[in-house]
Amino acid sequence: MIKHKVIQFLLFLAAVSIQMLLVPLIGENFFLVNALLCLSIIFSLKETRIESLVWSFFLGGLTDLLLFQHIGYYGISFVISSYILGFLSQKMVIGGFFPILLIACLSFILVVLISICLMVIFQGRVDVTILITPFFLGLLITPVATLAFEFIYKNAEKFVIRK
Amino acid sequence: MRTFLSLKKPEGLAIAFIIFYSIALGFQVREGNRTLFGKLTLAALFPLLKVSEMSIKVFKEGFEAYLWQRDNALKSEVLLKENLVLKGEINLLKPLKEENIKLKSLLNVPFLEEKKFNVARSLISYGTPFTRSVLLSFDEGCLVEEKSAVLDQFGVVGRIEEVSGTKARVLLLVDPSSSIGVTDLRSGVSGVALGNGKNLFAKYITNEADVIEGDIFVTSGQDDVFPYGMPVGRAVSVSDGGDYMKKIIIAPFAAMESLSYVLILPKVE
Repeated sequence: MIKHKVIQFLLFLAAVSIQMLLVPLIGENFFLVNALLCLSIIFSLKETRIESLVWSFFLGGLTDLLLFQHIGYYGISFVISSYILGFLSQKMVIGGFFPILLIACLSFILVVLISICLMVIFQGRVDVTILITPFFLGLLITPVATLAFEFIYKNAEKFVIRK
Repeated sequence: MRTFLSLKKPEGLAIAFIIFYSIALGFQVREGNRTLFGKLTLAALFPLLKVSEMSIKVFKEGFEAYLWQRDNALKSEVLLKENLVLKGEINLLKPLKEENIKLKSLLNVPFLEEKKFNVARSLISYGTPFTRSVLLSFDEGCLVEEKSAVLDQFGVVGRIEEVSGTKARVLLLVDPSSSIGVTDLRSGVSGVALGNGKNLFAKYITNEADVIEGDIFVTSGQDDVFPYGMPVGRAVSVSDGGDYMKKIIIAPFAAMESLSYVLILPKVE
């Protein structure tokens, strides 16, 4: 169990490093690409619902912090997304390349939409036009990154079990 | 309890998290642009925000007060230590200051003019009521010999009787076995002064000699111990002593009872 937690922690460190170092480097338009969301999606699919909610709560808040905006927009979206994904994974088994890709795409769209809604609710109008390119770039990269994280997580788990 | 249990369910936990972030958001956008929804949220959360704000304020003030108190306590502790150190230094300096004053007063003795001298410290005064000696301590480099004259800033104290290492015993003028050649500074009449335990008796001065009360006596320089002109004392009583001699009592100038530092003149060759 401890080793399982260690894997979670290492993945978390990797995601934070990517989000903090890599994403700002590749370009301004990539700011909606979210490695922490990838992790949240994987935890929501693989872990218990409570645990995944706690992780999402924490990862969402951290995303807000890293994006230097009001803390809560991504926090709430991550929690809602995680809750829905947890609910779905309880009802059906989600695995394989395409289902995870699809789930990641939908989660990304959901998270971005909820965040925009919250921004409108709390801060008034949001200039959506500047979000179009980053949205499509995020929609392209985040699910791929989710697949990569899922691959690593799955293999790491296998390694733990074999040991 | 029921609330706590509901947090164990995913729905309860999700709602709790969402409420938490909503409060946080409401709190953050309070000072910024307000939409209708924002205002509604703020209105709904107002008591909670107020309580939170007040508690944060109280906590902040308390924390600042604590820091202030802690800093001042540390400062006062440091100051207390410094104060103790300074008090200690002052206590150490007091005797040095007194010593300095005494030594300065010795340097300003007028009757020594340009004579060379050594300085010694009086350690102890001892003797019976009729025998009076003082033990002196001096530095190793000082050349102190027996029969050297000893003075304080007021006048002659006595002569050195015995030297041992850096210590010397002084026979005071008032010791009954002490004798010193004296001269009346006003009339020039000479005689010999002997100690009587407290004062000096001038002997061998005839009734015809011009000596009156209040005359100052200085060393005559005829005894091979004291050079001429060192103040000895003042005549406090002049009367007929029989045998055609005057009975003159001289009160010594030197502070025999409270000697601290004294001057030692080189032996008269």
